[in-house]
Amino acid sequence: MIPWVIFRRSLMIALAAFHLALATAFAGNQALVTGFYAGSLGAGGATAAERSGFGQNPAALRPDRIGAHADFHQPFGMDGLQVSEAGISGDAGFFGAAFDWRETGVEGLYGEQGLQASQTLRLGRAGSAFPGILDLGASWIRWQSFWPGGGREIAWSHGCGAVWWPIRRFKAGAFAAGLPLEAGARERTDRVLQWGFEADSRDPDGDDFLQVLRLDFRKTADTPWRILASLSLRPHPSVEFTAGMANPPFQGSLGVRLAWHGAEWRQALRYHRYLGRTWLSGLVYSHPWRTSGAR
Amino acid sequence: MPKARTIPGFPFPIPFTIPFPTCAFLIAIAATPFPVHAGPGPILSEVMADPAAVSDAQGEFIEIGNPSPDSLRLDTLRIESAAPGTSGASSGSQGLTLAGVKLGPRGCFLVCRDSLAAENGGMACDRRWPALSLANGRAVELVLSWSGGRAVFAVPASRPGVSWENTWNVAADFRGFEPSASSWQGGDSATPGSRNSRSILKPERNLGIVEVTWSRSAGTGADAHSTASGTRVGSEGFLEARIADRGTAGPVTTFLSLRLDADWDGKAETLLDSVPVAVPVGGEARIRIGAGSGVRGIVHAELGRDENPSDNRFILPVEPGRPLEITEWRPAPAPGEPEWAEIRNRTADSGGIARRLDLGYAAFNGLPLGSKAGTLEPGEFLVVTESAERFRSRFGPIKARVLQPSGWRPLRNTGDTLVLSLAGIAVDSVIYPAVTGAETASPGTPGFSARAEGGDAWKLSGKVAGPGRTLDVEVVTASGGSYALRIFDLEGNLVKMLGTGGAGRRAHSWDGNGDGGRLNPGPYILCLSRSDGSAFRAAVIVMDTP
Repeated sequence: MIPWVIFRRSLMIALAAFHLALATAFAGNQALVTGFYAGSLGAGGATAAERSGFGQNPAALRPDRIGAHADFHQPFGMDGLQVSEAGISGDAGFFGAAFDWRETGVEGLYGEQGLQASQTLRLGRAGSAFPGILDLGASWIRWQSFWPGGGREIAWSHGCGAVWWPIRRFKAGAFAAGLPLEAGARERTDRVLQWGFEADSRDPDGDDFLQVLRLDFRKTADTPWRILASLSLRPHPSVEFTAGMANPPFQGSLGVRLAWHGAEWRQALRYHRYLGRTWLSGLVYSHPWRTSGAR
Repeated sequence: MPKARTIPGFPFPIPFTIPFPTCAFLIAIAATPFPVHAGPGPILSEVMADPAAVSDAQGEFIEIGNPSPDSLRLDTLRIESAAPGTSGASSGSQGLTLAGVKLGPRGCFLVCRDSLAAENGGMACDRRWPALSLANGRAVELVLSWSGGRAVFAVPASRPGVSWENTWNVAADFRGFEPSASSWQGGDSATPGSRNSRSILKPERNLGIVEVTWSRSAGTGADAHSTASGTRVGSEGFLEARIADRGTAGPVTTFLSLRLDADWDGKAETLLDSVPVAVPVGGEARIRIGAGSGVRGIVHAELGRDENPSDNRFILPVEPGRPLEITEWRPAPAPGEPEWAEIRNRTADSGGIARRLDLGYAAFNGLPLGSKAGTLEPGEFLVVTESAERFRSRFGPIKARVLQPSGWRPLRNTGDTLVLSLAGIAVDSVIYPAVTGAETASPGTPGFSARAEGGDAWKLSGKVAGPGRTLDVEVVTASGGSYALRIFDLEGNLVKMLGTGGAGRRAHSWDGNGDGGRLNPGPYILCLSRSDGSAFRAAVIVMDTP
């Protein structure tokens, strides 16, 4: 039975929150650094290139798979500044859920933890009257900030998004995150808006050489819209190379993914025009847990 | 009246009982390096250079002594006499070997040109050597070579009828060979034709450490301590201790122990080495111990079983740079602000070995920090201030620990010198000029290390900005340069263009707002990029709570 009721309620909440988001701008570290995004500089976040992570479209689904990930990096190689993240996900054919945790800290100065729960509903599927596949998702995040000697503060935010897959080799997606959830409460998170496209050369499940081009546009808080683009080459299902760029300010990146029996190791190097280099590392594991007719 | 002369390498003036020109025995040694850990070899304890005064032209003799407390075999000793400057290479003599000869502790052995007592001035010789030709004012060289070394004695055309005693005096590198002023206890004191007694070698002495040096040559990271330049030995370093024989009471044999105090707490906790000390009678010796590049801290050298308490210990700081540094200081703070200074563990910088330092024995401007100072990790900061409470009130939470030592002595606004010491050794000092008002003589801000990051490029007043709390940034740019000051979020987005400028000193302030309005709490990165492409970065926090 499709949890239509759940979806409808989620949609209503999301629309209401989106309205609030248009009126207010708000930090919470929602940088796109999870897994694949490390090498793509965030391109693909609109079309949910990763199953779960902070700052991406919550409308992500990997039918009939369960997975987990862990990522770490030191932004721009800054001493004492570090970001750690971990998450788990589980998807059925048309519905999935994920839980993520991220900690951002400046040693001795500031700490921030985010706990995110997200759910995804798949509406369209092969053979139905709906043109293509549509994934809808929503996420809720509990933010907690620590100030050494200064106590802590808690804030809530949420996000919603959609990914539309009209034909097999093309996807479009958009989402909003960092939307305030507490009416009248002090907002603590920056609003993130992102939309984009993804085109691939072949069926991503095939074993042949695969090329994926992603183009996104992202806006965080009051900063200008940025262009995020990436090209991924997968000569073998176990190996993937990604190059990304973002502007402004100019950033470039290179990433590599090595997979083996469901486990993936990701390593990326980013370069920021002013802030220098960042090394990002991640581990992902996913596993099919049942067989269904969904695609 | 005897003259006192200072001999190179010898720690005190030596009175000569003979006028110096006459005393110019000028024994030069074209030497081989002193063997590491080798015991003393045989010495030339007396020379009858010109026996004419004793009416015996064949009366030359030399006396070979054993200064060590152990027996000494002379199997490998070879004696040659040669023309001056040839060092025996073109010796006209055939040389003398003393195979089978064994000298007892501090014993001696007499080699004479003529073994007949009636013809050599009454000497009872141990070995006759007809080729020994020192006679009658002719300058020659005597070459002694043995398994442990080689020495050349230049015997000048000296005053007739005088024999010279105690010729062995090992100076720094075997090149300061001079006659010793002290006579052998109980022996004959250079009576022509009279042999020294068997107990001529002084049985007791006192050893003292004159100097300990550390030298290392490793590419560009060469470093050296103490006054000696040392010899470069590959990429590894060595510790070299110079031990002197004081010639007073004390044991003859001893051990030199070297211990390392790596955390500068005044307590040597690691034994580096313990080596036997053997110094030639009346002289000095260098003992070289390979130490490697891993030796960082204070080396404690100590002689064991030495009865002289004044000079049998030696401490040597071994660091390529400063282990601890005064990075910031504020002698004239704004009203309501406390005086403070910032200290940083710099053991990891300049090629050092990163390690924890114990500040229990540290002192700032003579003020002991005490046990509350605890330890300081590599790169960690410690702020010492007259009031920790007011400091926190002014700067908010910062990365550095804050310590308020008791008995704070106000810093002088008229300029002063700040001294930081560890375990009684001054490790850093800064001199600041007169300051007034809120002006600061410091090149940085607490918790940051502008000085450590390569110069005076910028100065921050804190790490936190927000409503009611302004972050002041002062930028100093060299002539011809320019800079831009930007603030980014963790995604790398530019949230605030704080300012730009050219050469000179400029001030900027940030109230926590971005170009698009108020920024939310969290970490942001302040970046100063200079026209030469270099950049300074610092993570700062925006607070919106008072």
